[in-house]
Amino acid sequence: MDDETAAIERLKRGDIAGLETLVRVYYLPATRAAYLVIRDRGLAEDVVQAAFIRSYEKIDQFDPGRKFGPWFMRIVVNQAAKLAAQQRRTVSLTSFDGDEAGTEGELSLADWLTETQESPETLLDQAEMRRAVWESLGRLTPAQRSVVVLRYYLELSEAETAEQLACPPGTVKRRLHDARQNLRKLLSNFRPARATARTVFDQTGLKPEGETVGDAGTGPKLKPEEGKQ
Amino acid sequence: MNSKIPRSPLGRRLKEQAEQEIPDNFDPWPVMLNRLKTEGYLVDDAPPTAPPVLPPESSFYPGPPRTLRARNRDRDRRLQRRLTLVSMLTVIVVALVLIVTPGLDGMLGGNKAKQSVSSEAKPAATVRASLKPGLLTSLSTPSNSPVQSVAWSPDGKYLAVSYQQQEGIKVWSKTTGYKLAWSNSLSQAGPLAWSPDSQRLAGAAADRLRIWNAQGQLLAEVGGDSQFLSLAWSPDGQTLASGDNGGSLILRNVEGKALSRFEGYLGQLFALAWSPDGHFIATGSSLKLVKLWNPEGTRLFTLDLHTARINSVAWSSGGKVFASASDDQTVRLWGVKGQELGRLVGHSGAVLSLAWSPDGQILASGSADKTIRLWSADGEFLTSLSGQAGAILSLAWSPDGQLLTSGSADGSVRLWKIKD
Repeated sequence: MDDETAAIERLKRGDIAGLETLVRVYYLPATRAAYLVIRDRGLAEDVVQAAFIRSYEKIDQFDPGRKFGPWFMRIVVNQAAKLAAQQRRTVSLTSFDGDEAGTEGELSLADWLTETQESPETLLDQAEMRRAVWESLGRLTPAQRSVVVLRYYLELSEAETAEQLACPPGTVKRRLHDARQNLRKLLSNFRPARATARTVFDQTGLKPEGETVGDAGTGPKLKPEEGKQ
Repeated sequence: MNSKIPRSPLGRRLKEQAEQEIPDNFDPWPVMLNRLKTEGYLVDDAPPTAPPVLPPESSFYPGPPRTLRARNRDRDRRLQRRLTLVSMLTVIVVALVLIVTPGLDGMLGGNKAKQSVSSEAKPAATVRASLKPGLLTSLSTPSNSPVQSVAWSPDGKYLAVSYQQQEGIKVWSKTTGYKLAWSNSLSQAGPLAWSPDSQRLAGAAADRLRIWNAQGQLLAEVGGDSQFLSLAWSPDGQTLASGDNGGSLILRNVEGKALSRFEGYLGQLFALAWSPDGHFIATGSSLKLVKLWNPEGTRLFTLDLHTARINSVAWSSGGKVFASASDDQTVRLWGVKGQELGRLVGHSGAVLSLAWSPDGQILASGSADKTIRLWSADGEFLTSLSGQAGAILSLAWSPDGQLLTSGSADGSVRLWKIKD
């Protein structure tokens, strides 16, 4: 019996200490996934901690023949998306939309965030690209973000993604399509001092509109960077 | 899980971003243990003087399992029976003492004061039933600079935040959906205080005190003897009290100019609060002392029950009670006659921040243990809030009492919705 199975058996017996093994394995990756969806570390940790508590409470419903990780990640990602959607409804703190800008002289949170970028000399490094991607990701809807995280970060197939999000595969396809379209548009607006659009697309794998995008197989529809890993 | 490198460039960018924000080098189990204890799942080391009161259920925070609930309920019943017995015995003894020695009446001021507090406080059960806490949203900065102070303007339009290391002071406008109204980049930004009419914001950075109008225009700037640690406006908005690292308590006019200086070395004045009726100023310092003054500079009481430095003091809206928070992990409630009304135990770290709800029914305390605890006006534990990754350095209620704002050493500011 491996450690994970033993931990789940302890939980099923009502021994909450069984969580320790699972927390040590899944806390970090789950928090990272939640963070990518919800974009706030504190909230992400909240979600993951609550998910561990929920999994303890619902452990009777867990089939020990299955892997704990995907089951747990479903709780985390769904809860993160739900919370992100709630945030979006209540307070648009992360709004980047120009038409939501404040009155003259006021800065949006997005303005302020972008003001704190590094000097132009370092704009071309990977950190800058990561930031551009991060900001662009923030402009997707929480549902689109969840799909992107599951598909490109956790690398689930479309079918697995649909299963995780408890929605039809067609919905996942549509969200992925919309997310890619939006990301392309957003990143095409990204113009660091010495970067070209080509540099941007090369570093993300997203091609400009009108060009072929990735393969149509089971993998993510992004341009692969073969031999660079 | 997901330790592999994603194949797509986008996936790799996401992985880099996530790993930068959440690095490998921390042990999550103690964090999770703390959460389990906070939510009542682990009760082995619960503080003896504060029996765990289970947080209200919500869709986001699942409640404890039935077995633990039952255990807690049984234990609470046993405690209740013991308390009832002790209360009955106490009443009999006190009645006998009063009959035999009427002169002891004055010595019972503390109990009398507690009755007066209770008369303006709703029962804890009523307050608890009205709570439905949940996280509304969170503000964070790229630098994760610790949040030193959060302050709502009394008209509820602005939330001011000061950051210790970078970011300076930022003022968010609630009416525009929390867009940044104005900001500056002062380093070592510290205490903040809005004037009662919401027209002025006093803020300190290191040994400089500045006063802005609500739109961010600088109205006045003065230097101090040492780093400013605490600020408080008088209820009429005509006087600003400042406490500093050099132990000086100074009253200033609306332009920040010193009008009077209280005598003596008071210790590092981390805490300062003006009573709502303007008759008292409460201070707390590194000397472990809580002091009560009148605005003329006369020291009325020195309260020395805390065993470590005082980090915060706060008056209830009724003006009859104030609270002090200390590194000794406790909060104490005091009356204006210097009598101790209660000792609130439950935090497992220094208590760093306090805020009374505008209706005076809830006291919030923030701690180095990274949790916020809510207490009834009578000092009964109501529930706790957790999730921020650093100590809770500052707390402020929105003027309508709907939102509790917490600033943390992890650089985040959270808005908690407390009631429906």
